Amino acid sequence: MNQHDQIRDLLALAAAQVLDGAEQARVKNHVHECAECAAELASMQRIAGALGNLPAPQPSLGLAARTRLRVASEMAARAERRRHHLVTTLLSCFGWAVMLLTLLAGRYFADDLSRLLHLSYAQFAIGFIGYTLLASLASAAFAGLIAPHVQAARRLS
Amino acid sequence: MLQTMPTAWRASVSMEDELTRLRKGDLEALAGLIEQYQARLYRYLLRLVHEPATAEDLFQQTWIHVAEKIRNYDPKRIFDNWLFTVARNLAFDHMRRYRPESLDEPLPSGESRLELLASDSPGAMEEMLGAERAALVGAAMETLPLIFREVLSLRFEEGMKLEEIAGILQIPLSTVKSRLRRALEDLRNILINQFEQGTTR
Repeated sequence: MNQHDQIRDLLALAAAQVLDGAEQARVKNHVHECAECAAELASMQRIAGALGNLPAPQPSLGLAARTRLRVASEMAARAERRRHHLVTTLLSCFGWAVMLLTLLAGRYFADDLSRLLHLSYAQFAIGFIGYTLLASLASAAFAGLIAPHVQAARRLS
Repeated sequence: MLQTMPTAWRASVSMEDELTRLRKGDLEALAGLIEQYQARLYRYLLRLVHEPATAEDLFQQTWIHVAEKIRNYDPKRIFDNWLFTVARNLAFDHMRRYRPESLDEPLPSGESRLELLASDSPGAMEEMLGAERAALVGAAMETLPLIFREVLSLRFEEGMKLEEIAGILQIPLSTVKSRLRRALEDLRNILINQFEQGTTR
């Protein structure tokens, strides 16, 4: 590639004013001698100038205010979701803790209870699992029933 | 200069203050930032997506993201660059989801650069650029591929340095240079084509 072609590749960047000092000087020296590159640089500079003066598009009226409202509403919704997530996690942990404690207690008193209720160990285990499942379903149903009331109470407060 | 310095300094201090408040969870601090960046950020998004409604939606999403992720922002970094990176990522996510057009491949121009660099081209350019230059250039810019539009917007409208553009686009400096060069050359070719078509009609 001869010098003319090398400089030609730099003309757009020269017009964009992003060349370093040495490159800029090379371009400047070349365009003094080369009319073709001088004309090309001039047209590139006009385009660059026009790009810097493009008409600024106007957003619709109230964009900033609408943005503030949307950010506030979105952040509130996200905080609410985080709270729900925390409560659900805590309730799940509590549920598991109760179940494990019940299991331990069941194992500790299993013999006495089985003897008292005249059950075999298998019958007792099935009963215990059934109890756990029913308790979980009942808890879920209860949570579903009271959730709308809790939300309504929160809205009113 | 003496008059503008205190204003710029005050604006910088005010922005620092607003960012600190925002980091502490004070959403009221967003008001000043939104006002300050509204014109620039909206313009940049509009250059990327073309549609005003989409640009406004992305503008709002950008600020939601800023409010949520402000703790991830490194204060040593220039806020403008972080903000524009967030906006760009959201715009690209949007376009990947909703637009079939390729985001990375330049459109084939189908034109020979040498043909378009005929000796009378600069003269024709001057004549054409004399009237409504900015509007014509803006319209021609809209036809460029996204990767060229964004680099032109960041350089000429936002006045960013190549290093800053590379940071926002997350590409090497050499790629920014080559995209900028291609963008300007393609833009010039489009303008020459338009002029030549106009004169032969």
